[in-house]
Amino acid sequence: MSDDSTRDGLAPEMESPALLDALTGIAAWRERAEQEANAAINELRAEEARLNASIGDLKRRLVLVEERRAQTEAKLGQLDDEELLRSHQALLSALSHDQALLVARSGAIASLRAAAKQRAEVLLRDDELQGHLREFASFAEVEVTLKSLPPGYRKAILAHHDNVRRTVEPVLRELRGDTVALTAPHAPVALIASVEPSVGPPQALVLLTPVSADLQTAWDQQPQDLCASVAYRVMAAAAEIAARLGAADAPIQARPYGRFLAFQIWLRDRPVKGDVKEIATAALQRAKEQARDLAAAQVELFVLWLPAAVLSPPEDDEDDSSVDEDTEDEALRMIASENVRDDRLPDFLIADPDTEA
Amino acid sequence: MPLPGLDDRRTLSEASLALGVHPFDLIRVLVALGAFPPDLHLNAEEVERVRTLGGLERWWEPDSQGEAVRRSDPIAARGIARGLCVQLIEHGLLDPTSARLDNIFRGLDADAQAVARAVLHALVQEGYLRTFTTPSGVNVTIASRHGEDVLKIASGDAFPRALALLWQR
Repeated sequence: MSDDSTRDGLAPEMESPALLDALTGIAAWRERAEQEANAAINELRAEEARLNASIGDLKRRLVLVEERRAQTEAKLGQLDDEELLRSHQALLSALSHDQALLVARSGAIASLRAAAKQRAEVLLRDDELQGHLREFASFAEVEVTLKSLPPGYRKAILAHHDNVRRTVEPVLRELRGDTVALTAPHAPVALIASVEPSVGPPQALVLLTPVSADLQTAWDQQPQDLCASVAYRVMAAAAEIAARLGAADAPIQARPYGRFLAFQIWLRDRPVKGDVKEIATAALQRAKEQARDLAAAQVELFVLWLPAAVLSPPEDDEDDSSVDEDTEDEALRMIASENVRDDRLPDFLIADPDTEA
Repeated sequence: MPLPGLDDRRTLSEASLALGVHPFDLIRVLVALGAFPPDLHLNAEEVERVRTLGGLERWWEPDSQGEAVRRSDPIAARGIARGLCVQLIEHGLLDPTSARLDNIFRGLDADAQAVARAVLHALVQEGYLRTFTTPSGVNVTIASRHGEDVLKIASGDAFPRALALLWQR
């Protein structure tokens, strides 16, 4: 402020009222503020529009993700059934493969046996060998008199017989088929074992073979080949298993499982002794060890334990044209049937002595 | 020239044919006797041993009483039913005495066996006969309270309805 403004004690005259200036300033501020706000609103609206567009996109993606999740959850829920179905189909495929292998090797072994027989016939043309064979065959008559002979004579006769035996042994080996051995890759053949139910007291034990189910009715129309050998050994093992479980009188059924032959030991409510799997595995192992004919064919029974559900899966076989339509029903009947029937006695109910009493 | 232990060897299939028994039934008998052959062969002596110890009998022989009754009846199915009951009585199969179920069929031709199975079915369903499993197979016996009824069937005096239906259809 100048000196003139304070000279007479009065305020100096102003060029414009202070209020006007203030109001003008306010107006300018207002205008700027409006411009700024409008600019900001425009930017925010643009951002809002962008966000809404993104939200629409995300919502559409969310719907897709929800759909995919629901589909995946449904698929997860079906994995058990799918696994059973795939296992069942693999089982049938493996049985078919093993059946073909058994049939092929049976043929090869039959050829080798025929060749062995021919070799024996050639050997038997030798008159001297025939004489030894006659002597060997008649030894049983001599043997009964040995005890009455002095030790020296006895020893000499036995030594001579031993010489004769060694001479005729080659032809006997050919005739017995001891020389038959197939030169082929070692081949495991699956034998499926299953206990129903898998938990709790066992009701049934199923032994499923790759042998054709036709064997049960056509056994007398074909030679006893490797297929019959497998079936007969498994049947014997089944009887042994039943006996070792303390259920020797348990019904043992042989019946078709689709195109294959299965054996079923019905334990039902019998109080079994010991662990079914352990006892069955041991019996089947013995059967394997005894099977020299299978060993000669380079075939080995491979025991595989499977859950009963694999033998009778839900809703299967629709796409498998190689499987008989009746397979599932057969499996279900095999596993679930309460009644024991003997197929060789049509519609004949075999009562259980335990329940009859 | 018979070679010991060689010439008389039979496969289990051949032995089954000789014994008139299914191989699976033969195997069950062999296991029960502790005589299952690892090489799946039996010699003649073993076959006879199994026949005896396993109780594998052939009932329908031409000179058997059951066969005579069967042939005397003008209705074939009824003759088989009567003959079969005669066989059961002849063999003293009143509970608890029993015999192998397949003995009932041995000696009959295929057609007669089919009828015999139907007869057995009817008699079991009626409760006249009881079947049960044993370590060596399935056995059959006459239910003790039906001994008289089986006698009546054998003599042709009375037949349960389910049985008579077999020849009255």
